[in-house]
Amino acid sequence: MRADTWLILSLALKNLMRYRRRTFITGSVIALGLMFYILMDSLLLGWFTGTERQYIDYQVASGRIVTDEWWEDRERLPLEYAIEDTADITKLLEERQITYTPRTDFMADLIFYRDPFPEDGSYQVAVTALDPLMDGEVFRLAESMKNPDSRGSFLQPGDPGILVGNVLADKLHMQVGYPVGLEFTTREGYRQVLDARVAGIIKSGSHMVNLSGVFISLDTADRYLALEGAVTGYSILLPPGGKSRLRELEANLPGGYRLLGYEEIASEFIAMQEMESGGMGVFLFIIFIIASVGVSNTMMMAVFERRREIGMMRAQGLSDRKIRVMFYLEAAGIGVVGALLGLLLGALLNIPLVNLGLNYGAMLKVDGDVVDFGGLVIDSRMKGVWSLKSFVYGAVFAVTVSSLASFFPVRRMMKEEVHENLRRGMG
Amino acid sequence: MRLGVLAFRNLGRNRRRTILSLSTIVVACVTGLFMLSLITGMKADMKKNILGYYTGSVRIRHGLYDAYDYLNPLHLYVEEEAALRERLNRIEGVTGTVGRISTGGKIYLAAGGEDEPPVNLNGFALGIDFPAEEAVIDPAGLLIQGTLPRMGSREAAVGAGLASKAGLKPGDQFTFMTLTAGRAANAMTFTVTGLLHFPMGAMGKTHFLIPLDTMQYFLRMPGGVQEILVMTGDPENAQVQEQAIGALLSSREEYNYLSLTYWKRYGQFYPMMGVASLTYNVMVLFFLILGATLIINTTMMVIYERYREIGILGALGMKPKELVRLFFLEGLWAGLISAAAGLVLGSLLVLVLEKTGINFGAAYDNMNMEVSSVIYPRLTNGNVLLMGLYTVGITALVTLIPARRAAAIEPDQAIRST
Repeated sequence: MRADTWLILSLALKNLMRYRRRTFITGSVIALGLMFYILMDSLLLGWFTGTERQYIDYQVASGRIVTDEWWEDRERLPLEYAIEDTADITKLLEERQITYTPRTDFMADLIFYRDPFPEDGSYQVAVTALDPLMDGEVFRLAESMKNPDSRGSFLQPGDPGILVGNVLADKLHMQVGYPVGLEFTTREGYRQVLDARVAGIIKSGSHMVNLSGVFISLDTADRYLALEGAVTGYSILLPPGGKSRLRELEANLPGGYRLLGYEEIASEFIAMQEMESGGMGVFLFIIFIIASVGVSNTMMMAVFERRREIGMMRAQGLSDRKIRVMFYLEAAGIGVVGALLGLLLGALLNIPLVNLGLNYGAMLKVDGDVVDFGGLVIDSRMKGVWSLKSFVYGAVFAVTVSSLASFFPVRRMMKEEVHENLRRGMG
Repeated sequence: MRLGVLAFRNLGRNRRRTILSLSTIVVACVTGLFMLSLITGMKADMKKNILGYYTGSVRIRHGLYDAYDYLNPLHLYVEEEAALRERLNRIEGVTGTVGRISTGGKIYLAAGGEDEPPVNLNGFALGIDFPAEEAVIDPAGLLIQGTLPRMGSREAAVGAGLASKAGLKPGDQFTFMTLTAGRAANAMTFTVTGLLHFPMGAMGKTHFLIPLDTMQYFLRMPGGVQEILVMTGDPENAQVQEQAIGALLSSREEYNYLSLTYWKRYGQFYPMMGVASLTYNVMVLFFLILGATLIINTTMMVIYERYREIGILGALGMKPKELVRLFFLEGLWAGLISAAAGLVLGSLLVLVLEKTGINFGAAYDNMNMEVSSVIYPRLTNGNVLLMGLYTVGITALVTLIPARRAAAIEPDQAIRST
């Protein structure tokens, strides 16, 4: 039995070597496909994980507690559905020793006047009110003030200053110290204007913050929005691996509240991500079809030109199953050659992709660090990542597809009688 | 000529193998045609949206408004627009002009219950001349429910996404609060007459249309508009009109403050389409080359199979060059057949998608781009021709690689071999 297995294995290997060039060409189709997959996956994964990091560090943390009504109506950031009984929530969090920080989001218009601004005007923004002392425990915003490109100072309790993302500030020709009007509607539904001053301009690790972030201190917001202590959400931070604590907290939330995670808060980005992955899936599917037809074609030739050989082996008593296995192994061998070559090419090309990145911003002739696709912001230099998963999956997939592709040609040959194999193989 | 016939017959000798090799090329060809049609459709869609919603062929604004448009500086508007439009309409090639005003503000809705505070959300009002816009954005074509506002009335047609966000339906009222051209706060209450489906999802979630004259009164902008869109018969070649308009604006002192934007230079996405197109072409070629490796393989196999035959042909006086030609012609035939099949299948696929469209809503609706949520791929003669050339060219060229081996076969050795 063992000897047979070795025989079959060595026969398959010898056959592969017999047609080295053919093996190489068919294998190279698989290799190209695999390489393409590895590089695309590296870029997409780099983009996804980078963006996820930005969301988590600046917007999501481990999760956010909001009211059900607020969540249902979230698109307009409704203040009337803020959390009123904040003590219920904070008690729950403190009992569990969970780090948290309150944040309130609301819509507002920034109002500018000529001098110091170049022109009169207004600009719609979503403002985040945060607790200047607590926010840094959960988010990395305060920490970003240390960035050499950040100017001014972070928000202070009781100070009606605003903090603005650096790209937005540049666009609005804003400098630290400039007076800005902030016009919004209070929780009771009345118009209110806050005479604010630009306290700081921040360059953070989040494109969203840099492009559209406007922040004020929570006590200022509380006073001007007539919130009376209410906040729209509590963001919490748990150490890594705190999934079970998160679930426990979720289960113990009073009725009418919910805990939002990354999937909910970043749902728009996730939809985009699924679309991109789906698009890549289509490309891979086409490559897979081409590669599998390639392998099955090669195997058909291999099977047919060895018709007589097969007949001979069958006549001499080698079982059909073993012959079949021999061909599957041969086909898998093509897959292995392709996979190895593909992994090698993929890994080699991924090195510059991870270290230098792909500067597609320059290809699109866009200046700056980011490309803004109308609100969806991507680094103009996309960087890849190393993902063992995509290497392993890709290689296993290549070998499997390759062996499966030999199924039909081999089956067809085995359907013929032995004498037919021998006779027809002569011509 | 006889070689061509021979090559064609050779293809039929092992029909199954031929079909299998060609099928990958067909798959690559279908995919390629689809991709080229998709990018053509996307480009056409963007062009249509830019021409209709953003600039027309040429857009005229107050020069400073153009520079600071993100600040929404409404006081920088085009004055006495009717007289200017009349002059513009007289320019040869100009088919029409429309004035528009858009501004952002807050939408206030009546309270749901007695104790509840009024609900408010951000929105954008776009004041248009409904009859004149028939030839531009075709407001009636956007209606999915109800009717269009009448000119001079305080009526509004609301984007479907905005309506569902605000819970508005025809017959409901809402109040819109914004700043006037004099930078004073002002509010006006509108009655919803209809719901609109804008091609761009992001727009449908934020915009509503109101009559231009009402907007002018509301914003204290008598006889003024924020921008004038100039339509031309042939937007592809509207530089002529652009120059004529430029000359008109600079020739009269009262128009010196105005600036114009040619549609092809608008935004950052349309100029990007060229790069996107190129990327797609490269990918299409990549697929074809991938598929063509099979042809190399098959041809190599065929040469090996016909080793003796090639020897005989050589002994009978066929020159090595002719042998190469024979195999090249086989490749050419293979390319022609697979291109024909691929183009027919691909065209059918694109024709179906041309009707149904492909919905990118999930990805595009949150992006403020000039691209619609639903893209209709476009089958063009140019793309079919290009794809045919790609397919036939690559298939025929790759056969040259193994075909050269046929020329190296020594007749005496080949005949002796069994």
